[in-house]
Amino acid sequence: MNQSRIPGRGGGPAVVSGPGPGEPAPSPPRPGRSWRRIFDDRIFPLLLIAPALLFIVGLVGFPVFRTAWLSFTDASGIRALTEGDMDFVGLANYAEIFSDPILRRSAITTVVFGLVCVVGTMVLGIAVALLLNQPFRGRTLLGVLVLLPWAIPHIAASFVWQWLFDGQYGVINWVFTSLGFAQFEDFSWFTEFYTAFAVVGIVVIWQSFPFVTIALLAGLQTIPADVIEASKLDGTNAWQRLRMITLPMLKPLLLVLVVISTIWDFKMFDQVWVLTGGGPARRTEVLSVSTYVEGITQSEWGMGAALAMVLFFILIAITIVYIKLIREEEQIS
Amino acid sequence: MRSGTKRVLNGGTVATALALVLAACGGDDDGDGAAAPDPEEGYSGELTVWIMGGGDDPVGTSVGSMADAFEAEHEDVTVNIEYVPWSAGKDHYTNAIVAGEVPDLAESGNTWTPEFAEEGVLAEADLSGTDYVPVLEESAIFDGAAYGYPWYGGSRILLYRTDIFEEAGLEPPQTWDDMLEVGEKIAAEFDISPFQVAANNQHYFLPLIWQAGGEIATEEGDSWVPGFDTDAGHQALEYFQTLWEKGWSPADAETDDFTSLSLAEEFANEESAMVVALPWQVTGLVEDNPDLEGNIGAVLLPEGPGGSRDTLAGGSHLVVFEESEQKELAAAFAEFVVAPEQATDFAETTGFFPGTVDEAEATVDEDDWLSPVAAEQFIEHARAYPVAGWWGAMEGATAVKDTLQELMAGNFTVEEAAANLDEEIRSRAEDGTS
Repeated sequence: MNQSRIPGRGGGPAVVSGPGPGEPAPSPPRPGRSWRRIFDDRIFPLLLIAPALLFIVGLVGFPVFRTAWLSFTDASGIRALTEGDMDFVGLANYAEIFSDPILRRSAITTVVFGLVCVVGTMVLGIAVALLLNQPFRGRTLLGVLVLLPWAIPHIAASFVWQWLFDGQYGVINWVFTSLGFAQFEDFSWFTEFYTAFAVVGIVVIWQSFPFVTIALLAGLQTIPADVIEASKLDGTNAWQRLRMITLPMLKPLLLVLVVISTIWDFKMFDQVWVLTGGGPARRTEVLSVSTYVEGITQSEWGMGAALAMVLFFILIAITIVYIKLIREEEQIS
Repeated sequence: MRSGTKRVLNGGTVATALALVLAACGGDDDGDGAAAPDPEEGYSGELTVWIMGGGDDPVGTSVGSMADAFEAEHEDVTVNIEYVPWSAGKDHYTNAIVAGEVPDLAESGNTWTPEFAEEGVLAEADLSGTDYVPVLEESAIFDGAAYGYPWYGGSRILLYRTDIFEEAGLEPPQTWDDMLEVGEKIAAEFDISPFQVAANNQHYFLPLIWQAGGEIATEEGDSWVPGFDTDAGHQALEYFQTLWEKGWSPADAETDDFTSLSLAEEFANEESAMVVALPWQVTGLVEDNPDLEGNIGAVLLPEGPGGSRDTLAGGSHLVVFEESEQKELAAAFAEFVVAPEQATDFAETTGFFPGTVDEAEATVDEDDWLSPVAAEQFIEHARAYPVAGWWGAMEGATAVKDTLQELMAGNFTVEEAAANLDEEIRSRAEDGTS
């Protein structure tokens, strides 16, 4: 490609077969040829990506812009969608999200609880990956067991956990009561904010750490053994090796895993929906649940769209920060 | 299909008779020439029908055989039945309406019909010529016109454990005060909860205001006036609060997941001595716990301070969609399904009351312990929620549950809960009428 574009500077054949000095060159700026060049360089690539672009715009771009537009309206009820019966209300929906105590709590919970889950998932994921990276008997079996929570559908697993924590018939309360903690007799885990989210947190981390573990296990195998050996000769202990060699070498992978976990944990829906339904009295909602409750069960499309956009922007902001961190990382290394 | 032959023949005569009645009624229709095709020529085409619940439910199987009979009578007609789970029902219908892909005919919960009618998606139903159960007919009427064929209904009654009441020498409660008094005695003498309440069970809570002599909301001119911040409303909330604070209900009863079904499970598990349930649930209770066989009694709901025992008349309509291209055929099938000839079989299979008065009364077996009580409750002590387009949104919203949860958690006083319910009703009623 490069050679043909710069005549004369190419390899031998250009000199041999090309015109000699003084003879008219094969006219480089002929219009036909420049059209061809424009077509080759600009239009043809566009044509090639056009189908994919069309799909992306249709399947991602349109819904996002439609949602963004709906979020500035008071659309509600069936007629808003069938007959376009809605008014533009500017930022009123967004103002309500931050003034309404239920929705504001939902937004704050999403961020705080999401971050707690990310930290929990990463810590447990790293710990189990390091464990599985050691040679010991039963390692394969443990590896398979670790994968299981990830392989069970979220909804099904959440129902199992709900039964475990059931107030009257749950195993957890039975164990605690048998151990002598009488206050767990008929204790309701899902009526109070903190106990409810403690359970949701356990379920979310239990479901998401296997992915982190497996990815990190693959990453750990790529760390050259001689680096570790060398550091051992330098007299480092295990903690120092983890902190100064293993984790820094895994940093790009860790960053990607943190981004993915953040996106998953911030948009979590099924676990909360199954375990608490967002109640009692909408006290345990996260943004995705609020979006469903306002947008779908109450047919408040405008408000639902605004909540979805808030979640969208929170995730975009966090992703931008992470991408910046990754870029900086790449420049340093 | 061989097994269907007998049914087909029976259905044939029924349908012919019905078609004649239809033709006779069709005369005073609004002059639409095609409204009542000649029954001898019959109908043709494909009909899509949505029925709530599953195909294995009593209602589902019953409708399935009715469709076979209808198809046999009208050779060129195909009836396609699609089953929609109750839990997903409302969203399913809303999505279909938004997408413009509605069925020809559908079963509609009687509290949804006014909302769909207000959206203008339903065709009018001709209810003349048949004597429908008033409370089911009333909830099908919006702005003076009927939009649904009353199909079946039922209402909640009080079930109690006869063995426990006999052993304690107690009579089932007749009033709210009785309820508390009897409950105290059972709680003191037995290792069982007398009666449990749950936040996520609005069809038990809402009628309490009627029993106290009040109204959920009354229509005054063009607007609706909510009724919880009144003496009767406060009494209803106080009664509910008292029942909760007795400590007879499990702590989980405050959560969203503890519903009327959980209360029935508690009764089946012998954890509670009384439960407010629908008559057809009895079969399931005994199936879950055969020990209960012969140990369950039924009485009308206890009377509140307003001298009323009223509860919700739950039920279903059959609605024809305006966008259907087969409106006459859909209406004909609807009338076939609700016709008296099908009603008795249907009631026997499902345990519900048919939507027509004569048949509803005919299903009562005076010797049975359950059916006369269920009939008296449904026919004399059952009513509809406010018949208005906004009610669907109120019922679909979490407002009632949320308010009760705050009351149970002690975050609301009775007055605050009442004011909150009124505000929720007011805001939706205003949205609806604007």
